Amino acid sequence: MTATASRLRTAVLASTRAFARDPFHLTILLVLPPAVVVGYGEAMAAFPQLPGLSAPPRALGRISGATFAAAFLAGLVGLFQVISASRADARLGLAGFPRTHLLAGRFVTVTLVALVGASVSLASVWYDTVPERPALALAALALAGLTYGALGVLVGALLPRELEGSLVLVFVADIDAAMATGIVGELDGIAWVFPLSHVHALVETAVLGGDLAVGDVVGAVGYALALTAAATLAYARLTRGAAA
Amino acid sequence: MSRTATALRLGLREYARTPVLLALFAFLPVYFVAVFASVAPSTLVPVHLPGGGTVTRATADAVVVLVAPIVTALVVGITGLFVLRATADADSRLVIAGYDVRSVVLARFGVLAVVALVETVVTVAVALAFVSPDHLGGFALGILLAGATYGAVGVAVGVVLDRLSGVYVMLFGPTLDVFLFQNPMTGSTSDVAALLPGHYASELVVAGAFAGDLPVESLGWGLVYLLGVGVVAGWAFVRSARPA
Amino acid sequence: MPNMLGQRASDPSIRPDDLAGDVLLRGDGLEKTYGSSLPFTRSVEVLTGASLELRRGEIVGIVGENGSGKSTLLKLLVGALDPDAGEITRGGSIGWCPQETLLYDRLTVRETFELFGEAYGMDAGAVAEARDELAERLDFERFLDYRVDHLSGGNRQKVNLGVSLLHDPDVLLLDEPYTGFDWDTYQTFWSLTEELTADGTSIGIISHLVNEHERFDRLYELRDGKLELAPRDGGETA
Repeated sequence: MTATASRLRTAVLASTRAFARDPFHLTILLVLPPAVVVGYGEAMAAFPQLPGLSAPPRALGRISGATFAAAFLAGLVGLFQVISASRADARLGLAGFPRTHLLAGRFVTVTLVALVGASVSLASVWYDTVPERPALALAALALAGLTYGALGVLVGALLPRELEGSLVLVFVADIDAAMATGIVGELDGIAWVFPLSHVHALVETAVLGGDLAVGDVVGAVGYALALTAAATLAYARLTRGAAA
Repeated sequence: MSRTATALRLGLREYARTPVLLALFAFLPVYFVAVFASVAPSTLVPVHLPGGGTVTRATADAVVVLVAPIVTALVVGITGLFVLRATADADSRLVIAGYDVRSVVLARFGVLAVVALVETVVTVAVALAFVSPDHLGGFALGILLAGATYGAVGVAVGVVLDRLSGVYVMLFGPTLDVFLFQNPMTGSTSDVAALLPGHYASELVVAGAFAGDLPVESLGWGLVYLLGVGVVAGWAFVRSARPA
Repeated sequence: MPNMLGQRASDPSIRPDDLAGDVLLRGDGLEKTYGSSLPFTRSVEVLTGASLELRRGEIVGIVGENGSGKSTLLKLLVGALDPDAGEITRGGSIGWCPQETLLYDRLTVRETFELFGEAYGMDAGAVAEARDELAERLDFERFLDYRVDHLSGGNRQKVNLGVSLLHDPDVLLLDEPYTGFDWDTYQTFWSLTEELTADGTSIGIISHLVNEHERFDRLYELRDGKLELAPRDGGETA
């Protein structure tokens, strides 16, 4: 194994172990998505077919719940990973551990959480609604997790305090998820403002069927890439020579 | 009483020295309400009033009224989650030094009450830019009640869960409760809705905004609910404070 | 948060009958295991029957390997933790200087003393007098209006020590109190302990420094969860 691969492996293992050693975290990862999916489905089942709703309210509620859960699970992990470890990461960086590897370790953990969150969320939807394209649904939900994982890293690097960072991420996510449901209205022309809007449309298409819109694919992937780039820059700035 | 006052005064001074947090307390309600008000269409929707009856209002107005209590529920709930945990060790030393545990707990709840009041004032102010509630007092009381109740829930959650898991609960809880289960744009509410912390607060807000009267029964039950959650939160906090 | 309901360590009215003569603090057969109700987690047995006495006017050292349970023992003695077994009898007010400072980051030093003065039941005048005297002795006068989180490690530790001394306690329990002190403050610290013991204060110190051992009237070593009087000066028992 090369030195680079060895360091990368060390960073990934350290980062993942730190998260997985708390049994509450694993429990939340398994319990929260079904609770949110069922809760959203049941709550939205009582809604009339409002103008912004693109599908039957109950099914849409489950899809929205799954997207929200997959996204926020990874987003908060990204936020807390950066905040709790930024000083130690800066020290490791000064000790010679490449910051790119440290960041890769954070992102791999976020990706693992995104994948698990997406899988559990999809299974929760599947219990009631069989997805038309399961692989696409899983990929889209994982993409929602990666998008918010990067957003969490970005917020954590710009605002490295747990309460303040949590408040910002919670408000961004809450608005985003609410808009994506369509309850508030249609997002014609301003969907690009909300990170989940395109990826929510992808999940909806994958679960309920229909033609895949290229704009949604480009928008969803573009958002994930742009946020990952921004998070990388912010993390590099946070850990630059700040060992004290 | 003097000890409680001293602990409260110094506790508030600690918060006053967190400018980023204060800025978020001021900015988040404006951002949250303004985004929803800007995106929601002006098409008319039926709004179901507590106790029966329906009025027809612009979707934008209904959405502002819907999201106003979510602001205080989220901000005060998450602050409640952090407020006791943040000073737990120092509080412990203070009590060992001779401070009465009730004074410390009351002071921490006092800080939370001030946060709830400030958030209510800011949220009502920004909401007034978009809607004109028929009964401003009831509208404001409902928003305050949502914040206070979820603040106590946050304290109780903070005793049981760590910060990461707690933020998940304090995001999805109020969102599911107030945004979906208590949504006045749906006529048939789930049986679960009446049991949730945001129920009476939402009734007060909707009635204050659109019915022009103060539903005394909702206010009474809301206060009873708040008292119950407050007692549970206080009990949980004091219980967690016992020597290990 | 431990001991929010426990006995107040600073309460000077406590004088149990079973404390003989000049004994101010006694721990007898103390046991403590850190456990967890969660699955897949281990319990750690820290103390298995530790006993000690602190008498008026003496200074006692406690030594032991890292992780041997010294800080846990001190937490039991001040009431921050409850023992699983054994008894603790306190005969006077206690001042506790924990290893981690356990102060409010965003309060100033002056406000910190005001708050702890309230805890000790002191009036404002007495707090100001004691605070100013401690600030002068320990040389943190110019930092009184600094926030705790803006202090250097050494100055934070001075404040930590000052808070534990504010009410002139009968028993002072210190957990490595001089970490980060400069040489002058270190010397001042030991002069202060001599003055306190001369006035009848009983002091227990967790120490790592071998060259300090001659300063103690007695030296306990914590090993395998129990306290033993440690030999000094080539095997002589103190």
